[in-house]
Amino acid sequence: MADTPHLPHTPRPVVELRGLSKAYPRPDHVAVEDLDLEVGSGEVLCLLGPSGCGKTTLLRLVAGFEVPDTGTVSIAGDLVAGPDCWVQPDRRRIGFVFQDYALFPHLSVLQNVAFGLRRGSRTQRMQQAKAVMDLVGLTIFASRYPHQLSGGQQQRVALARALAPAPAVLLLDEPFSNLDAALRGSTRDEVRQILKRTNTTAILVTHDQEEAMTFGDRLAVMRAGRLEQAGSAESVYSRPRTAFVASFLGRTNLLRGEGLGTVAKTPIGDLALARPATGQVMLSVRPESLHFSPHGGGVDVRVLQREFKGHDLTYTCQLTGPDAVRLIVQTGPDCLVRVGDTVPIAASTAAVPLEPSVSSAAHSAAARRAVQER
Amino acid sequence: MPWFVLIPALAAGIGTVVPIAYLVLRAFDADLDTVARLVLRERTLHLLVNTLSLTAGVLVITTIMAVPLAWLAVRSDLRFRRVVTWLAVIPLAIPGYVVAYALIGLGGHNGLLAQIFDLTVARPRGYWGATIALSMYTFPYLFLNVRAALMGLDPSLEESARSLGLGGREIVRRVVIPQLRPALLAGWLVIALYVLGDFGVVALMRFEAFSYAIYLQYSAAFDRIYAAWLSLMLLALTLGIVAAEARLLGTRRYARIGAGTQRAVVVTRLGRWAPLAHAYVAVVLLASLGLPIVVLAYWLLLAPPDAAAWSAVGTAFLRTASVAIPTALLAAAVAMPVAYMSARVRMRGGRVIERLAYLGYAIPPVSLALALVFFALRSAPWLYQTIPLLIAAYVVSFLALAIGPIRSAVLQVPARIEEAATSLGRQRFTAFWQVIFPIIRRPVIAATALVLMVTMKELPITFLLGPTGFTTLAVSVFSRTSEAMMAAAAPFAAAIVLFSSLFVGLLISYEGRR
Repeated sequence: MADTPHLPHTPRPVVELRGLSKAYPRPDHVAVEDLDLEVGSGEVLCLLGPSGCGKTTLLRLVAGFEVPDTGTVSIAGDLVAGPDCWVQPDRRRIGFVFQDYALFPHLSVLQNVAFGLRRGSRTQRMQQAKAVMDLVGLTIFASRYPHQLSGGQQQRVALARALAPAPAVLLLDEPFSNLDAALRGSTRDEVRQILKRTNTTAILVTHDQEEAMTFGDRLAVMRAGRLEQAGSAESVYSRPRTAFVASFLGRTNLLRGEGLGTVAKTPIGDLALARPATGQVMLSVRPESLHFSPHGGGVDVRVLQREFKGHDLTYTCQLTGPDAVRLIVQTGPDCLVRVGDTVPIAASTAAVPLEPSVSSAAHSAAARRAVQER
Repeated sequence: MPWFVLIPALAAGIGTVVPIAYLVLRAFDADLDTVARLVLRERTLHLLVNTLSLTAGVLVITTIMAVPLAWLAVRSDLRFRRVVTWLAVIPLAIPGYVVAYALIGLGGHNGLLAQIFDLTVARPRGYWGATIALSMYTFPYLFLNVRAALMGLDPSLEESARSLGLGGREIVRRVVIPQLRPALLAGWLVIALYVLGDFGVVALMRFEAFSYAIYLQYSAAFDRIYAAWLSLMLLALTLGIVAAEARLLGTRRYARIGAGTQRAVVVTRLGRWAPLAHAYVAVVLLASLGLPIVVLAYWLLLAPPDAAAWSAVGTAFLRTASVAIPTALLAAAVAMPVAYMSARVRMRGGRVIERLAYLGYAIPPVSLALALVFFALRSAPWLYQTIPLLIAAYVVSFLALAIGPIRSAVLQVPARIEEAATSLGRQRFTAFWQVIFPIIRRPVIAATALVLMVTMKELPITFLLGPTGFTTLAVSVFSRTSEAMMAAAAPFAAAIVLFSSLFVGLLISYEGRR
């Protein structure tokens, strides 16, 4: 991928997926299709995508809970799944944190955490488990049972249990989705700090774009079983490769234009381009790239809706010309433009020309759905 | 499929298929003319009519006993509802042949009625004797099913019906009864299977139903081909009833649809009907529970057993336990993997093996025992009349009883739990043993106890397959009663009733605590 930044990690990836595919016979449905992905040592990768895009299947393929149809999975340099190769999940040195935690109800917190520790004497194992519980701040709950803990505490037990055997890679399947909004942010920060402190390689699956942008070192956007784009949150946000990525990660305005090299003719005037393009092209212009310019130099729009959100203002506008294109404009909270006003707008940063999606089938429908979901 | 599931599952499957195969083999030993002559005769029709009318009679009487009782125990302000519920389940502990014993001991020249009230009544025999005896001990199955359904009925459904302008009687007809349908069908099916498979009652009452005729052919007439044919016909009848139930039940949904928690059931005030309701409850409980206990007590007091008699009871008890305990353990050990497989592994084979286990339960015990006699005589003479074959027959017959509770327990454990264990370095067997088993332990113990109790009172399989002289408690009661030695049979019957009620009580309180 052109805009994937250089990883500051070791050259040998901890997780390496090559041409991975998995289809479910019932209902006839491709979950993962011809997917390549690498995760470096100590890296936290967020897999982002709408529900049903195959991200959980991908995680389960890495774990060995599902058998791939084609392609290979390598963990820590060892092939664990591929033609004529199958390593059972219990031999893969993975840690898995489930969406519903899947804590063993008949075991105490300490016994849950110590479950994956199999080497050394009993005392040693208990000490190791206690050390991990210390790390996640659970020490005082050691003798409790899972049902006696709150959701956030159960979450941390699940994390401690998965971390205790020092897995090569930690796999997290929407681990924060069962927590209420207030708890989610703080738990996320804690978990991220713990992963960084232990230099754990991790893959986290989520459908929450904010989580994906803040939690990972890198994010990968999936759609319909394929990888659309991977890279740092900044690079993917500012340089989306496809219309799907542009509209799934944040809000955006999609404009048709005609590329003339470094600029493009669009309904809102000539825009500078982030990448050179020629001919018919779809452009992404973020709402915060647009601004009202009452002192001339822009195309007139009529304001249809004004949403005050405290730290900013979001306007929905419509071009007054024959195109009647709708645009979203984001401004500072003290903008005085009102509903019904007609004002000129202009773009302050370069527009991003988009490529057609990798999986172009049902493209617009999925993108629209993705926008609606948020 | 992992080995620890495959091997027991295959054993269970083979255990069911082999006996049926041998029955068919033996049935076709004769040439077709002989077969036609054997099967297509008036006696077959006579047996069919007898068996069906017995089943129908028992279903009618149990419905009259169980449905109002269940409604009173759940939906009315009847007094002592908890005690009534408990007492209505206890008859499960009293085997049919003991109820038959009680009915027989009631009448006759030196029966209870004659001795105490100077009232000589003929000993109940034949159709009515068998129908009443079978109803007395099978009605709790219908009671339990209907009770559970009534407790699960959503009061808001009845309230919506009322808000839509339906009157009380219409609500019962259009809302309550349709929702009770699955429970009624399930209860009727279990009772019908009991009636078809029963041997003790029809034999003691000398009523010519299929299972008694099979036994007579086998033991007295020694016509084994005809016995095999009768067994196959009884099996076909049983499977026909199972299929009919499945067809009647259909695929409709009866569970509550939609969100929200269900409110508690609304209790109907009995008002001026209360005395009638209490009288009804008293009659049902006195007939089903009081009668056997009173008759047993009467015979025990009339001729108190001496030390020798009690020691004979002790020996028979130990003998019974010596086969029942291994049976219960083996059944639980086989049921766990089969239940695990049917709940977890998405394979066609899994469902087939589970169905076979249920088929084993549906095979009338007399047919099963006879089939295993044929199998042993033809292919494994060294197994004939041995304890291992007896235990194998029990397991085939009762496996389904153990699978049911274990399967629903496994279904309640999320599959993520095993995946968590494997991601922490456990192989599948270890994962099952360390994680699933501790969670489902209680239902497994309950299933083991259930099989133990059922085996302790089992009669026809023990009678046909047990080693010569292997007189269990059940066999002792049966052989003494059939020779009208009422006093001699009493201590054995009392031992069974005491032991079984203990277990039923245990199971009920176990269920409650879950």
